[in-house]
Order: sequence, then structure tokens, then C-alpha cells
Amino acid sequence: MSLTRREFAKVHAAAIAAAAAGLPIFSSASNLVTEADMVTLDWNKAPCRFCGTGCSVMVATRDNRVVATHGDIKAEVNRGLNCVKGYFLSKIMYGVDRLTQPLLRMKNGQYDKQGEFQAISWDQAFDIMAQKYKEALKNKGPESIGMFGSGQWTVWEGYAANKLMKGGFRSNNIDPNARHCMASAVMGFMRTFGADEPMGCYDDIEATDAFVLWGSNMAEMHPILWTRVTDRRLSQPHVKVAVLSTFEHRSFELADIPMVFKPQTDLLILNYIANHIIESGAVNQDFIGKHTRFAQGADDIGYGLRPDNPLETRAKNADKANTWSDISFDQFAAFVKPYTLERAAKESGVPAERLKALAELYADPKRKVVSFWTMGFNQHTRGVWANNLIYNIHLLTGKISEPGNSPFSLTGQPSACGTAREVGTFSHRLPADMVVTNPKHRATAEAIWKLPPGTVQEKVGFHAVQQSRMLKDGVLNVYWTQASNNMHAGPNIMQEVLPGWRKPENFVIVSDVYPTVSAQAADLILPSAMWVEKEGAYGNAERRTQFWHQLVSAPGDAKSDLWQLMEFSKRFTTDEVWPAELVAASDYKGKTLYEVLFKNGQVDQFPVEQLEAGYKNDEAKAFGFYVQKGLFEEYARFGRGHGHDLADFDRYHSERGLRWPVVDGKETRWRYREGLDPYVEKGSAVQFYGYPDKKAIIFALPYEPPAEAPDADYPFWLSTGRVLEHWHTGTMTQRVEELYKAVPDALVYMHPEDAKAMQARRGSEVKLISRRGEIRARIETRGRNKPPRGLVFVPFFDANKLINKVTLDATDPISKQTDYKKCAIRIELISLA
Amino acid sequence: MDEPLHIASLLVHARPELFAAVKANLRLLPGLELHQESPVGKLVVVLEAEHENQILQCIEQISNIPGVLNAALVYHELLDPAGDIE
Repeated sequence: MSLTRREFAKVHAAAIAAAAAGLPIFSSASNLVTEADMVTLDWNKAPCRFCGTGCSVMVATRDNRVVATHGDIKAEVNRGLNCVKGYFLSKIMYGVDRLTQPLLRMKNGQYDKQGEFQAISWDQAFDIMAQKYKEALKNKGPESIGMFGSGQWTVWEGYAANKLMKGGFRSNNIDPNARHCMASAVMGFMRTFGADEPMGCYDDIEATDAFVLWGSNMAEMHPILWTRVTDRRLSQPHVKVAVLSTFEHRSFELADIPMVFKPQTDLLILNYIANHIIESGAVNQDFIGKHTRFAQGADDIGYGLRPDNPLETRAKNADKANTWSDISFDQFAAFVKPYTLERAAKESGVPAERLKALAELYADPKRKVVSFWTMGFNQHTRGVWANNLIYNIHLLTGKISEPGNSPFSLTGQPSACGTAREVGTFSHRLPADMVVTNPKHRATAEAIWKLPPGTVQEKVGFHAVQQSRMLKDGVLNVYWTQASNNMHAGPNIMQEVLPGWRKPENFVIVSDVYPTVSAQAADLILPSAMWVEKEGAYGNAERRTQFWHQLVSAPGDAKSDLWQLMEFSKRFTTDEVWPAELVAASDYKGKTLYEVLFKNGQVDQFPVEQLEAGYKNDEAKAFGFYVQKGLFEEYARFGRGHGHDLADFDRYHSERGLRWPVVDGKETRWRYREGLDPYVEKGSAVQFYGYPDKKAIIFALPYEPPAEAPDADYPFWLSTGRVLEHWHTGTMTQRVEELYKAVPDALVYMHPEDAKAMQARRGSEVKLISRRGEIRARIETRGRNKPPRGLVFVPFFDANKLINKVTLDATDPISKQTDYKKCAIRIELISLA
Repeated sequence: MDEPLHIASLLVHARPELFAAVKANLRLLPGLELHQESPVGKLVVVLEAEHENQILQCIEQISNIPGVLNAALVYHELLDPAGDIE
């Protein structure tokens, strides 16, 4: 290799980085971007497969294989940057143990729950599945079947699954894994604004004067957004960064106001800030008078445990957690008055001057503030309250719905917003913020779906944690999971997840791309296509809908989740799954669910000729029409004209995404503000139009203790979470050699004095034991996370160290989202090392 | 030169008051070159490595230098003797 070529490559690499950073490019390098190597490959855009940031990447393919990726310079989100996970995207599909054919547990040529996995055909797989579904439906009805889906489903996969379950099988027992990550954010939005998802967008980063991180380690979990935050902080010295967490992590390096608080005391701090705003006269009276009202929420609401748990039987309002009554501003002021600076400082452990500096960021009328949060708020037995309380602060000061003033809930999955929330794959939801409990909403869904009235059930289905409990109790008997790994990520695995999956009468199907912990615990494994092996759409945290084309074929017999859902629906006729009177009320007697739901004159209305030339589409080929376009256009009818407008299907293939509502071809960056949001009436300045009176609610909600706290027997707090190199349960990133080698094992991040006190040190192997289970892992006392004494942090990516054997299945009683950040453990030394 | 060579570029953010010290520390890392910079604390760094995993190690090392706030990978290219991209 010539030295010239090497030097050339370096200049080229530097020029691209400089362009991404907005630094001047040296003239000698400026014309080198069309280097010959780059054009021998076929490059296309696709959103990244990992987190909810929604970076766009350029994907190079050659000979039906993804061979390279790089950050997309044209993307507003990431402007050419990539994090290390995105950088290795080209390798996630090519792990050696990729699943390529259906596998069934068998003995003597027959299905047997105790048998070994053996390869079968798709026909055989659907035979046994259909048999199990039909048995369950016949014997116990639609409540006995369930589905666990994903914020990693494409939009149309989630839509097809939701329609098949709620409109076809008439079961609301479908829930996405987003229940574990976004449900508290959803219910926070719904309670305060009557409408889901953030009002602002990432453009707030470059417009603000202060960032406050509440329970979010953006430096590791959202590194590309963190780059933008860092850039803003460094280029505008007046900008301040406040970081709150229960332990010190990488985001603290940028913090002007670092704060480590005792678990659960975030509720006290939030109420203190509201009190400070009122007492210091910083309330924006005009704003709250015109655009808000006040309410007191039900308190003493329990911990979402099983109903016979003493914590539930003692709770006064466990059965009406999501209720509230109107109060006045004065009553609200009196409610937060006891949340003084002294009390907040004493109970949180954060020095008073830092809390005051934080409160001043919000109170100062001249300072714009962006609040970011993720799992620290959402995975919290009072997560919905925490979301409501942060909105209180932004509403009291009017710092909302305008550039730079933004309470912003970040997301962890690529389509938690697009698929789980917007499509409404939760057990209580329908598309576009509608719910199954509302008769008008059900009627709307039935009309769009061309189904007879009464098809969609009124009763809320089983949510994620409830699904595990109902499997264990034998209420739920047939269970299909796609693009999720609940045997790894679900809480309290040994007591509440595994028993239900392995219960003899239950049948569990897992669709995935690798033999995950969940796949290995299943009865039938279906091999899935992933990412650019299919045409897809994701929706990111800032309401941006992004599309990609199928660029390569899936290996072996692997098929997309969409194909699996639609092909399986051919196995059922309406007579087999609907009561006779419902069949009689329709024209669908003897028709298959496939004909009723997918070949319904709407989903099948776009012929294959409309496919963009040069791209594969395995589903269109299989079914004979442009499946994705048909599903998307039918789905978009739910939201158009109702504040959830999506653009026409074809447009998204030529855009780096668009933020909804897309009205008259234009995206909306800030909602609820006149001039920025087309749904806000002229002369009104601000309208929170999620509620009929167009006002947001400021909630009086108290501090309440966590479900479990350290005591003499279990003296440590356990918090779980992610690391930069791995994504969620590591099923993709653990198969990228470089990422695996960088961080092979989950470590127990611990204070060095705590290690010393138990005669242990860095590298010692310990046992972490809770009232529910135990794991072994090694201590890390240095490195990126620095917990205070009395708290340990263990990442959950590692299948060999399943920390969720230890965690508690307590949930927020309103959102039903698990608190993975707080339970009590004891630690025993195994070997010093 | 017969071995394949990895070239990668990073955007490094550092605290402006520690910028000089960060740069001095960066120069001590093998296979690393400093390119464009901005006084607000932005710096383009180019890495040269024989193995891909050295790139990740190097990012980790850079992240751990006092004053470094962020290191984001921007571009990567594999130069091999046949002149082909993997």
C-alpha cells in the first residue's frame, strides 16, 4: 500500500469529521469526498437499528451483504456522527449463530414441551401454532392468548400485530417491551397534556441556555445528542448543565451543577423547585391563568405488585391510582409549601446550594431550560408522578413549547414512539392516542378496519408484567413474542417470568434473529429478518418518522415479523375465532383473518408496480401487493386531521424523516404554540389541545417511599441500566466482536470503601442476593460509573449474569412500568482475585 | 506495507481551559494525529490502527483523559493491500 493512499485516507477521514463538527475543511481535502472506493459500493440511507435518538446512517451493500456504514451527513439528527454501536451496525446481522429456520421442541417426531429443539418447516411451525391458538380460543376464549411486541418492530409490523390481536383474535393482551421503558412517560404526557409525546424537538438543544438531566446518562446512552449538548455548552459559555443521578457517571464530566441524590428523593427535589418558583415570585401568572389548571392526584397508590402483596392491600388508592380532583393555585401552593430547601437537602443528600442553583435555573425568567430524562424517571414506582412534576415546573414558568424551553422525554428504542406509542400496541391503546375503553375510539377503529361493531373488546388487556404473572397462573396459555427478550429484560425472572413460560400447559413462541435467553426458554422459535433485510419505518423521540428500503435478503428461511403475522392470519376463519352473532353482523362468514384484515380492499390497494425500482421487497413478492404502503396508509387515517398527521408514504423514502404532525407537507417542530403548530388557533398564543379546554394540568403529588429499601439484611441499593457499548440485552452488540471485547462482562460498579469494608477489591467475585434471586459478578471500583457508598450499579446486557433474577417486579401503579432502579440486595464475597 | 490498516476519525470535545493539556495527553497515544481544532474545545483526531479493536481501546483511552467531555467516531475506513474496502 502506498504511503500516498494512507495519507490520503487520513486527510479524507479528518475532512469528514471536520465537516460534521462545523470546522473549516482544509482546501486540499475539500474535493476528496468522492474518493473512488466510496462509489464502488451501493449506498443507501437507513435509521440506526439501536436507540431512540434516530440517527441516520449510510449503509453500503455489495453482493447482498451490508459491508460498511457511516454517519449520514444529510441527517439533521446526527449530522454525520455515529456512536460506537452505530459504527458497527454492518456487523449486527452476521453473528455465526443467526437463526435461519423454525425450531420446535420435539420428542419422537412430535411437539414435546420437554423435547429438544429440532428444525421444522414454516408450514409445520404454523400448524402447531394454529392448533395451540385454536385450542386456547375454543376452551378459554381470547383472554388466554397473548402477544409481547416491541419498540423495535417497524411501524407496519406493530400495526399488523395490533390489528391481528385486537381486531382479528379480539384479544387486547398485546403489549410492547416499551412498557418497560416508556410507559411512565406516556402516562405522564396523557395526564398533563391529554396527548402523548414531546412538544419540542432536538433543535431545542441549540436554542437553550441550560440543560438539566434527570436520571439520564446521555453521555453513554444517547452519545450523539450528548455531542450536540456538549457543543452547545462549549460554544456558549453562559450555558449551564445540571446532572442529577443516584450515582456519578460520564455525563457528570460536563456538569456545572452535579448532584447525586438518594434514590426516590427526586420527587422531593421536584416539589421543592415548584415551591421555590412560587415563593420567589417566579410564576408566569399570565401563562398559568390562560393555559393551565390545577389538580390533586390520588395518593397512596401502591406499587403494582400482585394484589395480595401487603404493600397493595395496605394502599388506600391502589384501584384508582389514575384519578384526580380539581384544586386552585392557592391549594397547589399550600401543597408544595412543606417541600422546603432544607428538607430537600437533608433527605436527598444534595448540598443545599446546588439544589438552589438548580431551582434558579428554572426560576430565572431570562434563562431557557431543556429538561432531559429517561429511565431514572420512567423506571420508577412513581414514574408517572415524576413526569407530571417536571411538567409542573415548566408550566409554572411558561417554559414550554418554544425553541429552547422544553421538557423532553428521551427514548431508548428506535421506534418506542413510532410503533409502541403512535401505533398503540399497548394493551389499553389504539392508534393515534385512542384507547380501547372509549366506545367512540373503538367505533373509529372498527370503521377504519371495516370490522363489525363490537369487534374490539372494551376490557384493557394484560400489560407486560401482568402477562408474566398470568402465564404463571395459567390464565394466559399461548404467548407469542417478537423483537423482544423478556426472559432477559423482564423483572424477577426466576419467580415471575420463567415459571409461566415453562408451565406444562402453556405454549410460547419466540420470533428473533439470534438464540436469545427468551428463545432458549420457548417452545417454538421463529427466525426473523432484521433491519435492512426488510422495508421499514421507525419513529424517534422527537416525533420523526423515518423510512428505509430493503437492501439485502434475509439468510436461509428467516422471514420478517410482518410476513409471519400476515401468513399466520391465513390459518383462521372468522367462524373459528369470532362468536356467531359477530360473524352474522358482518359479510365475513367463512373468510380468513388474512382476507378480513389485510386483503380488505385497503391494505392491498397498492400494486407491486409502485415499488421503487432497484429495491427488493420480500413481503410484496409474497403477498402480491405493496404491503408496507397499504398498511401505512390505512394506519395514517387514524391520525390525519387529529394532530397526528403523517405525510404520504412515498415522501418518507426521499426524506431524512419528518416530524409529525405533517400538515400541508410541512413538519412541526414545536407543538402547542401559535405560529409553530398549525393546530393552534390564531390569537391564542398557546393551546394544549390534547384536552377539550386546551389547558394542561399542574398536578399536586406528594413524595412517597419506594417499594423496597435497604435494611439490615439487604443493606445495598441495586440500580440497573446500560453501558455505551451494548444495547439493551446485548443480543446484537454482544455478537459484534469488537464491542464484545471492549465490554465482555457485566460488572458490579461499587464504591471502593464499600468493597474494602467487605475485604474485597476491584476484580473480586461477589454474589448479589435479593429476596428473589442471586447472580455472581466481579467488582469494578474505578471506571466510568462511581456510585456513592451503599449503592451498586449493574448493567443488564449480559446473558451470563442475568441481573433481572435479582430485581423486583414492582411497577408504577399508573403506567405499569417496572422500577429497575431500586431494590435492596446484600453482597457476599466469593473470591478476592 | 502488507498488513491491512484501519483509519478512523473522531470528533473530541474537551473543556476549553484544559484544551492544551488534553492535546498534550492525546499526542502521547500511539497512532494518533491531531487535525483541525477550534478554541471552544473541538478537535478532530485521526487514528491509525492495525486491528479494529485498537480503535475502541483508543476511544476509551481518550474518554478517560481528564478534561475530555466526549469522543465521537465519525468515519472509518479499512485500507488493505489489495486496495479494497471490506
